[in-house]
Amino acid sequence: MSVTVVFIVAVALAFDFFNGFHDAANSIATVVSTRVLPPRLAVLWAAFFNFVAFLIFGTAVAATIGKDVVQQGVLSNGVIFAGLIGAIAWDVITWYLGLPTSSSHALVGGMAGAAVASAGWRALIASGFRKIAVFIVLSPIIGLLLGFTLMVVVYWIFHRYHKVDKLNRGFRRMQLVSAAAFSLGHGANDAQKTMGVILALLIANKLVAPTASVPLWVVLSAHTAIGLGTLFGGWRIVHTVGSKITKLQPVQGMCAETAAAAALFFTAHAGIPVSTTHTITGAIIGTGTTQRLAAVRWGVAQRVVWAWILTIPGAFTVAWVVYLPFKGFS
Amino acid sequence: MRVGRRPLFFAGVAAVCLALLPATPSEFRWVNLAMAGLALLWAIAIGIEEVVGRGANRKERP
Repeated sequence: MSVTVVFIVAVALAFDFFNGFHDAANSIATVVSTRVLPPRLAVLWAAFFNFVAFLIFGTAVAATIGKDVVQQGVLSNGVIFAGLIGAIAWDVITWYLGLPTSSSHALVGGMAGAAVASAGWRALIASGFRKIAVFIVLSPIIGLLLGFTLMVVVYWIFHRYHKVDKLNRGFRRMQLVSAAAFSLGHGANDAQKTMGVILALLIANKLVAPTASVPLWVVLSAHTAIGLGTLFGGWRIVHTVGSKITKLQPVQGMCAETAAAAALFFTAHAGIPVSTTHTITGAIIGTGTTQRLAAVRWGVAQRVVWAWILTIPGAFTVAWVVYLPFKGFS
Repeated sequence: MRVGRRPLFFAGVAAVCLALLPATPSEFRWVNLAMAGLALLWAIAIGIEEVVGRGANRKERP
């Protein structure tokens, strides 16, 4: 394995680490805000389930990213590196400007931008791109509808039960399971995106066959990176958790996490890369909608819609520009 | 008879799912249909609940 390949693998793992770092709040927000777990334990809980996701889920999402977005013949070290830099740069720019972002969509946009800069529009695989684009919109909707449905079902089951304290205690315990499930879904979906990039890199360098599945060392290193990212991101959140997290009832937290986890399990199984942030946002909106529409912070929903519109074109453009110097060498 | 915002919201969600149907790969179209069906179910259920609730409130008034 050449130094260049090792360097690009390190950049991909760094992207994965920051993905875990940014998204740690999604995994632990509800368990911490409802005081089910102290912040430190919640961070460990989420990081552990991020890591063990590889034992349960396959690598269908990795295969989609590695083989279904960009034509195999176009993939080169330059394209993959520029794609990664495009995604990371777009994440940093939007974080600095306070614009909404999705690391997952940025990665797809970045890979596409670098590939188009290298070989024109024919470099893209339309069917793979279409699948991802459709589920950018569908995944928060699935979270929303499942979250709403679950809340209604729970209300129906327990509305005659008047021992509120006992009920809340039960939902708090259930939240441990739902948070673990969401962390599993997050680990499965987001770590696999990095696996896909590394797989594409290995194929481009003829280190594995084009039909090969993801090597075990790639699976383990991607899950380690996202788990460590969650661990460090979570530590940072420990200090701000009191002021920044919206107050949720245990039942709402449990339903939102369960709904989002179900959506992530389905997409991980079907090999569709989706944004875990958007999915949990949709699920939280769904649980809030059971009260009334005004109970939802629609500004958040608006930001998700802007993320749909901006992220792929933005990361595409950055990666396209980053690839131009490589074009001179190739 | 005025329908509240929530049924319209869910009807809108159903419309988005159906609008995405032509773009969705054929093996996943059942997801659009299932989600549109669920959204429509909630739109109708909440609409009926609002109308019935409003009628009951009117009867209770002296």
